[in-house]
Formats: sequence, structure tokens, C-alpha cells
Amino acid sequence: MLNNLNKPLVGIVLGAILGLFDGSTAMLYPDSRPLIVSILIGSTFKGLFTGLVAGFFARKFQSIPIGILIGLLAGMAFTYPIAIEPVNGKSYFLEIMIPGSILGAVVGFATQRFGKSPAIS
Amino acid sequence: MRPLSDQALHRLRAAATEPDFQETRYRLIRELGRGGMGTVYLAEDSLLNRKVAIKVFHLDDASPALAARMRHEARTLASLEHPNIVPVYDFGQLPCGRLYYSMKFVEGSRLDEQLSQSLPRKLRLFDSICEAVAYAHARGVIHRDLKPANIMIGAFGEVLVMDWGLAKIGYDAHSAGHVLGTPHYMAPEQARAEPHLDARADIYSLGRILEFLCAAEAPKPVQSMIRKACHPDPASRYAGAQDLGLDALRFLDGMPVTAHKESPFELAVRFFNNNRTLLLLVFTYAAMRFLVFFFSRR
Repeated sequence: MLNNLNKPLVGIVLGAILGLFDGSTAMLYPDSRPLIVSILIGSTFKGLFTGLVAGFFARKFQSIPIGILIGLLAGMAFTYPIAIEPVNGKSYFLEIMIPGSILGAVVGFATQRFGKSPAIS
Repeated sequence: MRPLSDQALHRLRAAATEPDFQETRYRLIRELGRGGMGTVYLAEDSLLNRKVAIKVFHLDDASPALAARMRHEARTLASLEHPNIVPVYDFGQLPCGRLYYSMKFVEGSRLDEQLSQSLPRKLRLFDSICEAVAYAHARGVIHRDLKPANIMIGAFGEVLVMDWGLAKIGYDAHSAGHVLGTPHYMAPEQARAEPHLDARADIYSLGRILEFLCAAEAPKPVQSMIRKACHPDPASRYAGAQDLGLDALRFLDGMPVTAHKESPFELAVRFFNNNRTLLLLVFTYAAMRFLVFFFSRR
């Protein structure tokens, strides 16, 4: 199914799903529960933008290691603004940055592996 | 009178059997190989200035029926224009009456000299053979003598199926009742000299070639492919050479092959092998989540 979509779309879909999942893990932290809706929205958009960057990269360049690295860096970059914001006065920098970056790497890999490349004209 | 030496006798015999190319465009270089129906020589085409292989029909076999078979072989080969089938350039008769045809001279090695290659490379070679055979079958031609010695690997890695001397187009009346082919690679129905042989006889030979290529290193799916291709009952074999080649490609791409029913364990192993990086990343994510959660609770 994923191979029928183009690479940026694979990135957007997968990034959004994984972002939503990643955001939902905030339920594990009692301090974050009152803010869960905004966390879920923020995390979903973070995943979506990461997927978009990784998808466009995969459209232009075919390299799994570099694709993973780009996903990791994009995940890191889009997670940073969320991670520096303290929740109830407490910082969750590592709790947000590390898993968010790894999910970026997963999306980076998936966009390299799945999805249609544009036809050569 | 002194008797002739063995060496002199050998030279005389060779001169007597050597074809006379004097009135043709070809200049004989050396003998390449000798088969049941003819001898293949390396020659130079003086007109186009290139090396060619020339198959010359045996002098003592030149009965009208066999001459017709030679003509048939040349025409069969000429009708098959495929990158994996050796092309025929010319057909004619030598001044001595012997028939010949010239074909591309393939500089390379035989398939049986390729056993040191990796399994994926051998399976890709095998797929090329299947493609050539499937093409011939689509044109109603059955090879009937597929074996590693009849397959050449060219200098650029290209596969060429050769020796279509026993090829059959449709129902072949003059081979009915005669066993033609090479024992180990011959389908059981071919060994019984059944007259109505079809493309599935070649599928059997392809299965034997796959067995030869993979030998002891054949993984289970490939073993199942060999078993299916070499099934004694033609109806239980692959329906076409292309299906067999596609199964080889499926195996190479980490997909299930049609000849093999996977157990859940095999399915899991294949999934793991195909998605190692993805699984490693997901595992890293899960481990990180766990560690971060564990340390944040302390």
C-alpha cells in the first residue's frame, strides 16, 4: 500500500501517525496529562513536518543511511521548540528530544524504502 | 616402405575431416567443440572482419533426413531473436556438400564454470536462462537439451542459451521413439521417448540446472522450486519457464516463492531479514522510551 503513494506523502502519513503515537506517550507522565490535547497536536505536526522533509529528500536522493540521518536531524529540529518549553515548570527536554529524533530516523528510513519515486522524463 | 607415424596419421585424418571453407567468406581458425550432430569451429568472417562460430554438420552423417534437421536447427535459431539466445548470421553449404551455419562467437565461460559465484548472482543468471527459454516456448520452440554445458556466460556477464540442435517446433515426428537429450537433465517423459513432449520437458531441465547451480547451498524455498520444476508428473511442474524465473527473482527480493509454503517461523525470519534496519530503529525507539520513562520516575 505504501508503495502506491509518493515519497513525501509516505513521509506525511507515517510522520503524522508516529507523531501522534509519540505524543500519546505523554500520558505516562501525570504532569503532562492536563496538556495532552496540545501535546498530541504539536507532536502530530512535528511528525508531519519531519515526514515532509524526509519525503522530499528521498524524492531527490536515494541513500538509506543519509535518509535516516536527515530524518533524525529533522526530527531533532522540529522537536527542539517543543522540548525547550517547560511543562508546569518542569523541563522534559530529553524525554521529548531523544524519542522524537529516533522517530524522525524511522520516518527517514521509511521514505527511502517505500513510496514511488517520480518518473524520469 | 616405411609405415606412417601415429602423428602423421592423426594429421591426415584431421585434414580429411576438416571442412573446406575455401570458396566461402570464412577462414578456419580452430575447432571449438564436437557434438553428436556436428563440429563447431572458430572462424573469421573475411567480409565483416569478425570472429564467428561455425557449426558444420558431420560428413558421414549427411543423410537427407539429417541435412533437413540441420537446416531446421539453423532456421529455428534464426527465428529466435532474443538477447539471451545466440544469434545465427548465415546458413549455407560447403563445396564438399556439408551444411553449415555461422553464429555469434561467444567469448566467455560455460555455466558449469560459474559455480564459484554467489547465490544471488547464480539466481540472476538462472532467471536470464528462464527468460530465453520462455521466449522460445512462446514461439512454440522447445530446446530439449538444456544443461549447463549449453549455456554460455559472455564477457559482459550476458547469458546465452546455445545448441538448439535438438529443438522441436510443434510435433516432431522424426524424434518420436528416439531418446534425444542428456540423461541427468532429461525429463522422464523425454527419456521414455514420448512423442508429444511439451515445454514442461524444458522446465524439468531448468530445475536440474537450478539444482546444479545451487547444489548444497540451496535454501528451503529454492529446494522447493527445484522439487516443483523436477516433478515426475509434468502437470505438477511450473506452468512456464517465466514462472520459474519469477520465483527465483521473488526469492532474491525476499518475497515468498509460489513453490514453497512458509511456516510461521520462516515467515518471521523472512520479515526480520527484510526489515532489519526498521526493526532496529523501532527497537531503539522503544528502548529509549523505556529508559527515559524509567529514569524520570527515579
